[in-house]
Amino acid sequence: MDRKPDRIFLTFIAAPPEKVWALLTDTAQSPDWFFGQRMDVGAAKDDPFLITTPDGGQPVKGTVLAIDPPRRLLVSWEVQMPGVPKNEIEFLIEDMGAASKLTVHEYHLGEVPEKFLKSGRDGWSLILASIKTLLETGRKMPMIKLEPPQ
Amino acid sequence: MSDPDFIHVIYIRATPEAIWTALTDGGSSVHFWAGRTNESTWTTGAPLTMRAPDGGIDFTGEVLESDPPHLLRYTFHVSGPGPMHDEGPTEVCYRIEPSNDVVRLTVTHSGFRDDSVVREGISGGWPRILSGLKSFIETGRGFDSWSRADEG
Repeated sequence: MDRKPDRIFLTFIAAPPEKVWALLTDTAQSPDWFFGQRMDVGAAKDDPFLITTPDGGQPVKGTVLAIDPPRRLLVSWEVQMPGVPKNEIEFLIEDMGAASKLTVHEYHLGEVPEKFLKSGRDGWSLILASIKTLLETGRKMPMIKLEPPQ
Repeated sequence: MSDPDFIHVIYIRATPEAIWTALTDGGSSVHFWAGRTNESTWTTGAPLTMRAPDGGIDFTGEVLESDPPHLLRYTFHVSGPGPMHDEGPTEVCYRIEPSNDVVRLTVTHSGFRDDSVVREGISGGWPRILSGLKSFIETGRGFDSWSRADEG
């Protein structure tokens, strides 16, 4: 991959890569770290990728573009709102010895308005923090209300 | 042109006071800041020294603004000699905001020159420091993600 991500978010987690991958791809557990939303990751390339809210809404749809457990997942990320260009999101998990490094790369396939960039930063930072807390303490991080992009 | 600010946001299950204490009590930082300790009274205008485990000075600074446990701002000047020292001081700001038993900690590091080697260095360091801080506060244990820092 020689292209450069538009945004990078990362955290270090005291757990092996396999555990990080297992949590990231387990649909049933995803509401515990994804603000109550379900994240459905297919098992193979070209499978659908889907985010579902508790009330049944589907704010993000996409496709699995690459999947290589427990190291890499690349999906197309199509926010179902007017004015938001298609993104690609890549999750990378690296073994750093005492910790795993979990990185999210955001690739913008078009100009993303500033308000969505801020939501993205708050959202991914909170997701990474929630995954870390859940893996290291076994407890969910309390829900925080994020301001939706206006 | 100068290099953009570095911003890292992390959410920690803690009180603002616990975050402030871990950052400023001098000794807690050994658990999440690559073994380093800090010395300062943390009042506006006070000097700040960050020491490596061998006692050598890692960086120095001056407290610019101190509002415990909400806001801390200081200058950051890497010890010399070397290209990082030669770039002169930059600025670090911690903003600590509570929300529903969770604290949102935003670190903004600013004041870089163009093609800054300091910015390159701190971009690798802050995610490690802040991940370690979160682990230390939430689990009582930091961890060493620095051994392979050259890969990060």
